[in-house]
Amino acid sequence: MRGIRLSINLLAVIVLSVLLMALASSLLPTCTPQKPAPQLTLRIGFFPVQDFLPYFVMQEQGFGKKNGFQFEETSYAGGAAIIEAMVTNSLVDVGIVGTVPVLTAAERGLIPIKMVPVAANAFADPDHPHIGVLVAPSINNWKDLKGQLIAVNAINSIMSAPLRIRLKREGVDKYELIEIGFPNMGLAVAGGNIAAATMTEPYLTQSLLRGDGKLLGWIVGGPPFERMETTMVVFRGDFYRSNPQAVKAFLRAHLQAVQWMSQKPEEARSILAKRLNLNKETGWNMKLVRWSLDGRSDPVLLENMQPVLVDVGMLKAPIPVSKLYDETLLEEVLREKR
Amino acid sequence: MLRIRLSIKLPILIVLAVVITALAANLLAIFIGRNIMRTRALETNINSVQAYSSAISLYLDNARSVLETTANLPEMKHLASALSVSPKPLRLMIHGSRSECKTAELILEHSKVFEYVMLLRPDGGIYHLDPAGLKTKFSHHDQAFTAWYKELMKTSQTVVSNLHISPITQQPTVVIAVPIFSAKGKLVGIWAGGLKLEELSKIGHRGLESEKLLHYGYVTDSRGLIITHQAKLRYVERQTDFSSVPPVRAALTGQQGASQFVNPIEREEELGAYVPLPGAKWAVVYEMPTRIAFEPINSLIRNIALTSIFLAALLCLMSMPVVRKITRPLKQLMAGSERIGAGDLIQRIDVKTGDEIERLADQFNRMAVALSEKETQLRQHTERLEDTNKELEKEITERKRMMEELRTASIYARSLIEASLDPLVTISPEGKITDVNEATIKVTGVPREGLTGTDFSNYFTEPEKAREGYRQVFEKGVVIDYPLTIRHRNGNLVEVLYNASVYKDIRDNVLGVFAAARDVTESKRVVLDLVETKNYLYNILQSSTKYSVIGMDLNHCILSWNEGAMRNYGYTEEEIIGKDAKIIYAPEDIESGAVERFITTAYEKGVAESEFQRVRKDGTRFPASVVITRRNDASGRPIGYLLMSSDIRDKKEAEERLRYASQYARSLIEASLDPLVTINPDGKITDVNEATIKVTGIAREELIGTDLSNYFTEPDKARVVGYREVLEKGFVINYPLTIRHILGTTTDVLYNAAIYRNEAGELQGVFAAARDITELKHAEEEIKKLNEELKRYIIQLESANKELEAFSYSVSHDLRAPLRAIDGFSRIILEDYLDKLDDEGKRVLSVIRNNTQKMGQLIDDLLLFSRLGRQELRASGIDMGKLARAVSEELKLAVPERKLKFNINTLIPAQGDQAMIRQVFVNLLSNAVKFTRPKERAVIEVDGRSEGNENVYTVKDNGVGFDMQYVDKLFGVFQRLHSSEEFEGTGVGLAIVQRIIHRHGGRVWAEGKVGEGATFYFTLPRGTKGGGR
Repeated sequence: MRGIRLSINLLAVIVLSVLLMALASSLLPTCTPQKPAPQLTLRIGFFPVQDFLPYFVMQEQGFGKKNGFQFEETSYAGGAAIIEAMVTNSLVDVGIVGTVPVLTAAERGLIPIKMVPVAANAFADPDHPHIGVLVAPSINNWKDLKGQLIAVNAINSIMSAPLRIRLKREGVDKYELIEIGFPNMGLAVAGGNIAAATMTEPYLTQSLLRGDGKLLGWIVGGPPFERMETTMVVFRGDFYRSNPQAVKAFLRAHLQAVQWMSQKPEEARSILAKRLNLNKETGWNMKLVRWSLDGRSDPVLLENMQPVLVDVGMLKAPIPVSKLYDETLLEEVLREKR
Repeated sequence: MLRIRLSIKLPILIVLAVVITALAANLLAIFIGRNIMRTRALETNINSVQAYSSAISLYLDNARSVLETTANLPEMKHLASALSVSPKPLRLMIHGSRSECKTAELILEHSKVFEYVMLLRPDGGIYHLDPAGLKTKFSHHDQAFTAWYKELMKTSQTVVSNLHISPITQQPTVVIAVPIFSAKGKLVGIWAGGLKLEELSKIGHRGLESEKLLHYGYVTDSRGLIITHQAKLRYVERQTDFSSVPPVRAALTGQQGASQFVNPIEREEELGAYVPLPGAKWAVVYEMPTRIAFEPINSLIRNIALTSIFLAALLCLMSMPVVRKITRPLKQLMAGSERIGAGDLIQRIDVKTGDEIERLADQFNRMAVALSEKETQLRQHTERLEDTNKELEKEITERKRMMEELRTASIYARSLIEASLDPLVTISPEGKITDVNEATIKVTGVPREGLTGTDFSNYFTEPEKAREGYRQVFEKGVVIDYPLTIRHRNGNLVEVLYNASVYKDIRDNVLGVFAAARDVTESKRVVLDLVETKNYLYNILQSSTKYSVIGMDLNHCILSWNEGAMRNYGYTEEEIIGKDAKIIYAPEDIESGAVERFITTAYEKGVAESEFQRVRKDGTRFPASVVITRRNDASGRPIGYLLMSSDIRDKKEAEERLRYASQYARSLIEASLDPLVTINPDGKITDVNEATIKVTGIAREELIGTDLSNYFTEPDKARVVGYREVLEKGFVINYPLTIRHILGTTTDVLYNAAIYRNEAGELQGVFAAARDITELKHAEEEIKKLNEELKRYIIQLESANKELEAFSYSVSHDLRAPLRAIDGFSRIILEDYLDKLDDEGKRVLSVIRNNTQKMGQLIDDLLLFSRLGRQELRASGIDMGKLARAVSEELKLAVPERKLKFNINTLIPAQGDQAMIRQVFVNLLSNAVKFTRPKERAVIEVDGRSEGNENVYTVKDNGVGFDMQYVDKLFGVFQRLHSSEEFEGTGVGLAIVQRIIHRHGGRVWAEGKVGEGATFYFTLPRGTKGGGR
């Protein structure tokens, strides 16, 4: 008799405990302020291009939160603008920046004092082209661009450098460059404002699908830069030195995101389309770059691109690759993984 | 089935009932609530989109009217007219006069809808732009390329452009352009302004904290590109394409309405309303995410769910005491009933609840009391019944036993009577039959009912004798072997001997006679048969002439002697009967005890068989096969022997021949060096020869009976081919197998096998012979090795030859250059310095020239010789006679002073390289011409014939000939049998001949004798194109 009573009491306690737990867990989502916030807020310089896909995945899949930080996002016109925001008024802690702005920054002596590239983000090759030239219907070859107005997102950017080199090689010496934001380039070509625009994804595919113009050719992933390290993860210099653990946390999350993207490429495309507010067709048709799975830069690629940049006057002289980036923290993160 | 206790079931049931009811009610409420909310949200959106559309229209109308009003100002018209007729080149002029500057400033300042305004000439050139600060951004002075300009020029009316990138700001904008007409109605200018899309996006709400808007409106141009967006200005900045959003698509086709849809750009479900913008081909949409629209109901759902859980838990807890109160008496009741069920009728259930459970407990208690009383009565009754039962059982058992014994005895007695083969009968004192057995029915042919009660004497051939018989029984009490003959109803008679006696009751009163008849008909017939058989056997024995059949007693005394014995031994029956049988045995068989053992065996075993030498009456002997059989009397006791023998001389001789033939065959088999084996159809070895023993290393006894396949390296292969295939096909030839020696060594063999049959054609097995091919294999290996070595040598040789040829060609070629120089300079000295040279100098120079020319010739020959090694053969049919004649004619012309006679016979045509064969004739014939020089009349004969597969050609001369001991040197390079003083030449000519002929796959040789001329032979393969290397 005593045993039966005991079992009933025990059952009641268990049921009550389960119910209270269920109650507590049900209430939690409605009381978000009670959730402990990530310890650190990283201010990220952003512009809406595919190179920020790892960042989007970090947010969507929670890799950032898992590694103890959240993001505060500020939009800029491009990588050069992010660098300026980073070095002049310290508004940005981390950014995804093109290798050409990184090189020009290095030439200006900003690395490693003001900024430190810590990892490679993406590479381009003929299977993963990165920058293409959208042209008006009247333009049929490179020579037709002679004397024309051509849009780039920034004059000293990864967009303009290969264009200038390609035009030089094609024998086109007279043309005019104008800075127009990526989103505006397609309509500018369609409206007749400009004859051509160097565009990256997803804007290029979006414009092609919209019928703004046609693709003349790839200039990164095609001549002059068939293979190129396109973008790097860059941290503000003082942040890098004062918060190495935060940098490592970001790198951990970044590598996790890239790993996830390689395993689930379709879902990654979906995230990119969602974050860039693309329609379905653009999302599926745009060309994606090759992501660096281990975050290591390719010194050969970085070295090979420099003489060309010197040739067109974007660099005064080649810069030793060793002075371009610091992968010390990346190696520590990779060692942790092993 | 899951057994759950009531104490658990009840709370669960209560909770489930409450939860399910609450859930159903809630779901219904949610469904209704959502529908209401959806309808309300859509209605709200419809109102909002109408209002928003009106606001946008108003905004655009205002902007348009501002421009249109100012365009009609007299000073603007005047200015525009002046500009349009101005001869000055006005392109790139973006500063205006005071009046338009003032107007533009006023517009920008007061309307706040334009980002910039500009005055354009009719050709699209910008005359004025305000604010002037935008000059740094603009890219085109000429706006003639823009779509809105083209439309305005086409319609001469105010134009509201689609969304486009402004060449002034490089940002997305919408331009309103108004034509300026002169007083005469001529287009003199365009007054245009770019709208502030940011301001346009603010229409309908305060501030631009747009990201927090719960519902919002947006406008797209005719392509679906966002022009304004209340919530997300970045869509405007990026001209995001909303053409895939269902309401936008619908509005752009002129529809208006409201719907629930998934926004593919936002990737969210929305409730939206849409209208086309009046006066422009734009779409206006107002939408709200369903998560916002349904937030109250969703919140309610959460609250209800939580409340339900809480209530369920509370209910569960509260129901516990009730459940316990309900279940406690039930448990007592259950325990009590279990006790009653277990037989405990003394205990009572003590439940005091005052309800049905207590009444149920009372009923259980009363039932227990009643059961207890009934149980006591039942027990007493049962005890009594048990006693009675025991007695009855005992009695019944005893009776059963007695009955069983009686029945058994009766059955036994009757079965004995019925089983008797003798007719049995009981007869009353009156002579009437009272009982019969089955044998009586059978012997009389009358059924049992027909016999009983009838007179016993009726069934005999002599009824009186029968009556007399049983009268004697009554008198004497018994009668034995009383002969009678029973008559069967069908007339058959059976002779019997009757034994009969009286039988009495327990008071010794005679009741009747019991008579048993013994049928003696068969006994009589057997005796007759025996006599007949004896006579028959005697006749057989006596008539057998081939076999001797001799009867004798246990002392070997001859009792009978048949015709065959008389013939075989020569004794007559009279002479031999009564004599000892040892007379016909050979004395040595008797002395050795063989005869005694033979007879003893027959005595012990009943029969013995052997071969003995037998002795005839005349003393001669013959081999005989003897069978002796013991004779027994009727009781099985031995009484003598029957000796049967036959002459086996013919058989013995045949056996001897067979034995010899077998030994011969066996010796051949054993002598065979090939392992030979016979196998039965099961694959087991039945015989082997010595070679097999040797090759396997296993003794004959161990081999026989084992599986043949065991002795090969590949047993399966041997099994399949070794005998299965042989059995199927009848034979197998040269099948390669490898025999394994017991020590592990192996022997490669070629296996040949065929089936063999007996005389009746029945399959006996397989005969197999294995041929050791180890040596053959070694030889093949050796040949292969030699061939490979030969190939290597050939390759080396060819390589060396090629190198040598290349070397000699190069040397010869290089030597010609200095030679030409020496000769040339010598000639120059002789020509230019002739007068300065004395005779000795001239001679020496002449010698130098001669020698250089000789050397030149030598090098030419070497070059030719070397070239022949590399030159490709161009085979064709050659008329050898024609070729030889042509060469001979040339040679004649070269030495007109010589008396040469060429006898060129008919030559067989050949296949080969014509140029090369020509060289052969040139060299051989010129040699002949050269070496016949001492002869006054040279005769050179060319002939040919066919031998086997080749044509043989000869060149014969009557020249100086040569010594045959040097014949080997003839065809070597630089080999000469005569000095150059005697006969000029380089010593390469015949070497060239040899090389050409060899390249054609032919042979070359020579025969000669000093002073008697020489004959050169060469052959060319017939019908082939030569064997050039």
